[in-house]
Amino acid sequence: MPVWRLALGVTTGTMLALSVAVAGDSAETALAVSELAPGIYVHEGAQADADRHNRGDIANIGFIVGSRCVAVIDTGGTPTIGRRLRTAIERETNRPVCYVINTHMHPDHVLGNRAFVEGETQFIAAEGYWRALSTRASSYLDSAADHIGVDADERWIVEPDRMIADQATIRLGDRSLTLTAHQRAHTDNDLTVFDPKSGTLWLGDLLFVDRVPSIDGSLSGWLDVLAALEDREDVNTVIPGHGPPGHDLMRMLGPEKRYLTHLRRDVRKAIDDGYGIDYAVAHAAREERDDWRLFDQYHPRNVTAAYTELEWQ
Amino acid sequence: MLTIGIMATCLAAALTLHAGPSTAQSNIRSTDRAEVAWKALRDEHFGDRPIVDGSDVIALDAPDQAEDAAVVPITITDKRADTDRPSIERLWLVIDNNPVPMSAEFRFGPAAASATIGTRVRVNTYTYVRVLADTGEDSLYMVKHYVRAAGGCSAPIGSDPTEALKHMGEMRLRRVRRNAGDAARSQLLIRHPNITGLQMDQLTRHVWPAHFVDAITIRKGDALVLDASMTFSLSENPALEFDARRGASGPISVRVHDNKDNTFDKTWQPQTAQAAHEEETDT
Repeated sequence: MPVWRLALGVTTGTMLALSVAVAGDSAETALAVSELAPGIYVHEGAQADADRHNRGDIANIGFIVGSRCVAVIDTGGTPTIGRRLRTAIERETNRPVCYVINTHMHPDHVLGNRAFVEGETQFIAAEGYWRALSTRASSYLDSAADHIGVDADERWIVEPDRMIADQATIRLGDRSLTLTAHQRAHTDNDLTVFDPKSGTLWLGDLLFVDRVPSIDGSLSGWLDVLAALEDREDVNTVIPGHGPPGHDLMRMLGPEKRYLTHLRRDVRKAIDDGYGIDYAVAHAAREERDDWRLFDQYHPRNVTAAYTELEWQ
Repeated sequence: MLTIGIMATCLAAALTLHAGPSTAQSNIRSTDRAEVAWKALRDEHFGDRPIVDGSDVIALDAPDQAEDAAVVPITITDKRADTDRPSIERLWLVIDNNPVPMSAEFRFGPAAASATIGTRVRVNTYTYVRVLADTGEDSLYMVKHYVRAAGGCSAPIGSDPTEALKHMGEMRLRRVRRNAGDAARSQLLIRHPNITGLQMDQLTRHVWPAHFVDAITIRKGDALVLDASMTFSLSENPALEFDARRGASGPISVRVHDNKDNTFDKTWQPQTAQAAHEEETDT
């Protein structure tokens, strides 16, 4: 059952709920966004798989407003969601969208890109994004058609203007954003966005809160990335790819790190003890089950991914 | 009743539909109930040789619902092993609705203790997976299992292909069992990208050329354990569990061949192989 979390008062502090979406799906209806810090706006997607009820609105997406222009960070699972995000932006500012930044290639984060192709907008992603997206595009579009019930077509897939191999800075006028590409973790093209002005770290799907993480990259790589993130002391606000934003980076990373650590421990043990994949699927990290949404849907896959990765280490 | 999960946040390579419990028949797509695909295959591969129910001869373990369509573990258990009935000489693995359904063929030699094998396959769409056994009798024996999974063959290549090529041909031999209490069997792991040739980049129309393991021969000493040929239905980094005769002496040697005519050889010296085999008595 899809659970809606309207972005109202979910986080504490300076957060303001500026617009609330009514049930409706037209492009004119602004997406509900919250201003988590001055100029930082986030829409929280439903903690569910994409379906006809949530219309593909399942990821956290948003934008950052600078004195010159706006950067969009992820665009949602359909162009309609992208257009509703654009409507929300237009309510807050008349400045143009100069960048669309995609945190990785998964469809719930990028299929709204189409809504931003007009104008001077530059699309930015991490190195590896285009290979990963273009090889999966047809299955993503088929899946959107099947599960959301929309007419998906190839125009939804937008080639990035720029892919970042390591780190880059983009300027929005009075604020600059630091974009960092990471090693293979959730996917092979994870990109994080940091706004030094407000201390906001946009983690994309490197962080799942409440919803079970899913591995489409490397379990070991992901744990390495989390270890490096834990050392950061310049972060005041954290925006996960799924689940409520917050302010305490260490605390927010905790459950995901625990899940991935348990998964690695148990799958390694299954391999060392001479058990096959099906045994590992039935036994690894089962104690995590009650702590996560969508556990039954994604955990068995995670075990399979972990097993085939770890058996060669 | 389908409670569909997927589109994907994190939907990876292959799509999997999550289905709730329901009767076997209702989960079989109507187009598969008549087994039309199989009827054509049957004529093509087995002519008019009689095929009878093989559930007393072989068991096929496969998931009803595959977690990852590109890595579907299957186990074929030889029920004729240690009996005085005619033993299994050949096995065929058929995945009806895969692009190339005849997925693998295994011939067993004198150093095979049984025809029990395990591997991991790609499943491209909901399909029957079936195994046929030839015991040298008039009829072939067949068992089948319906697997719900999709996208395994056209799923994007899991790892960077150029990276995967660096390790191509590396092999490991280890012991695995399915559950506590089960006998452990030898498992051969082969590093190979096993590219299907169906993994097309939809936007650039670039297709990664097919590059997959097409033959595996395993010997113990001079004696043949098994000789297998296969298509890209085997998963990336193919895995093959087999059952070598304990009494047979000599090293385990493996030769792997791929469709680009690469050959990879590896031999595990008797002490290693022997040590591995002695564990078998533990369970």
